Amino acid sequence: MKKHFLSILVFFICISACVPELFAQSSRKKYFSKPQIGLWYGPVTPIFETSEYLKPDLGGGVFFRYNLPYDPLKIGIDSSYQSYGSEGVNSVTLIPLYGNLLWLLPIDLPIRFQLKAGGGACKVKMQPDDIEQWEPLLMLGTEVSFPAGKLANVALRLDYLCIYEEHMNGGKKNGHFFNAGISLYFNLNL
Amino acid sequence: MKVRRLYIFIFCLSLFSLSCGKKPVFTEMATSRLRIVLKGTLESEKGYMSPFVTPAANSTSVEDSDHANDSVDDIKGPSEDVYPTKLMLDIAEIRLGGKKISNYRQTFSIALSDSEPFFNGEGIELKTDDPGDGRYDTVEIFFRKMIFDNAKIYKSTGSGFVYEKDAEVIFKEKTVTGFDFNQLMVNSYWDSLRKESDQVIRVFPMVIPIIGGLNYNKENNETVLEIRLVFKNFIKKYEYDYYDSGIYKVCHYYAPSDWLRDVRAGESDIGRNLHGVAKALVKGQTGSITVSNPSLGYVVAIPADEDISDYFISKDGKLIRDDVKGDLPLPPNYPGAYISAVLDYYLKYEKYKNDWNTKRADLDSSSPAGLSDILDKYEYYWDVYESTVKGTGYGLKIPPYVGYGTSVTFNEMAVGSYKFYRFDAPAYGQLNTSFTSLNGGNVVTINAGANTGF
Repeated sequence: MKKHFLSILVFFICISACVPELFAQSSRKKYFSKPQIGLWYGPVTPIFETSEYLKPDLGGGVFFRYNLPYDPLKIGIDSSYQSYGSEGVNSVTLIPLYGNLLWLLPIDLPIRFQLKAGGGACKVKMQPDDIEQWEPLLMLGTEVSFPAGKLANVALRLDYLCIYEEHMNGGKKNGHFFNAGISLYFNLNL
Repeated sequence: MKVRRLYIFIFCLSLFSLSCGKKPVFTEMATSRLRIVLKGTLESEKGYMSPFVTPAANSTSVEDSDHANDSVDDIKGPSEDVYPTKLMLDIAEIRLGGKKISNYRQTFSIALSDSEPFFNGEGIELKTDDPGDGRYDTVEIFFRKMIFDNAKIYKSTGSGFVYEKDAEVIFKEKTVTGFDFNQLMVNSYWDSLRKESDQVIRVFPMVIPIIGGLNYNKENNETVLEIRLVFKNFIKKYEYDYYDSGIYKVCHYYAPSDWLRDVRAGESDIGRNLHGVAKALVKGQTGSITVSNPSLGYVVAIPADEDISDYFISKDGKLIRDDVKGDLPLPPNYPGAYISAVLDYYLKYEKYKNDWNTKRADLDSSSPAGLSDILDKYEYYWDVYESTVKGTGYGLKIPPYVGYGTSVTFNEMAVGSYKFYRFDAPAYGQLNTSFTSLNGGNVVTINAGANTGF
């Protein structure tokens, strides 16, 4: 119930932030090129073999992005909280923390398309085994966003996360997750 | 080029530092190292099982009609009664030492036959997740329903009883014929003088001791936890009395034998009569041994540090209960606002008062252990009863290794020291009341691999 309420709240914040600016005529490119900070919330789901023993849920996170001298590229840092239950008693909580490189596709539309790739680490907690450890993480993603004024942007982000375990002693499987989220982020005057 | 190599080195170093000494979580979740098998037999060894006995539903051994105060008292031996053919189990949850390892709902419909894995020693596998490393001394199974089919309802005509219909119950979201005796698997004293008068449910969960304990370690090979519940050749008929719209009815249903805690006329609670035991084995850390049995019967092994007296009672449970002088009668149930039923109730209530006074006088005239106060006497008799039926702790223990035959091979025994005993096959619906030592009572050490038998 709480998760549903939060989903609805985030959705309405996004809509109310962007409606007045939906038909803005001037290019927002210069605003978009500023450092950005934001948050996202949405469904997170295990995929491939990981979906055999974990169930989808809702997750959310925060991120920060900074410009590079080459305009279409940005670097970002991203973190989130994702908790997955199972049909049985196992549950896994992930706190990914990773850096990524974002590439703004050169498409001249009010809607912006970005591709992203990155890597970092993920804190993995597993119950009831009481395992808590940091593991390497790789990610790929895309984002579709549109400006909501000078200050804010609204986006739909789709990310694939791979928690790499096969290099571990006895590791035969990796963790595969797909995150979809509605995102609201702000252009900063730094 | 050198810079690229440096990057690769740093990447490998960070991978190493993020992985050193850690467990692969996703591999762990996909792997099951603990296998739990559930059996419905006293025997643990496949190939060394006593055959299934299917007595007539109205035989003395099923109906207990040899005892004057048996549960089946209103209508004895009706021709419609049929011995059950099927056991239905609905399991909600399993825990190990109180820690949840499974909340998968699992239902089983098992024919009462030697060809069923549940009854032939093979066992049925329960779906569970792996527990964390550690020692566990009990396994708890939360039974949602336990049903035997062929339960029959009879209604009173005033001068006798007539068959009305088969009892029905919902199992696995479908209506089936049978009686869910799980709801009656409580251990209660109907007399409010006892603190145990509060009903205590014994099957939600049913706490089953793991004899020898389960030392679970993920570094080991597959660990097998075998759980046995004594159903085979241990099923009896009971009578459940109730009023339905002012009409007195009885239901004849089947449940585990009341050999330990005798269930008497008018009593509905049948708890603590389902006996369970569990034992743990780690593959590769087991030994085998062949034991000769002087005559056809059971061979059992228990850990050397256990006391064999925890594994049997000195005499049949109904005789133990006969010794209780403070065994006061049950008051009749109020039938509701139906005039003929209420008149019937007052008649029964007068009889109850008379019986109660007779029992009280019987208690008053006794002087156990030199006691003079009647409440002290009452307490004394019930305390003796409780200790005689092993009422403390987990109750009566069932041996972890049991085989039937003139020569029994225990193929997989956990490495350790054991004492071996034998006993003759008890009558249907009963367990043993004595053991005889084998191997001169000497402790036998079981090592991994084949061991020299005796």
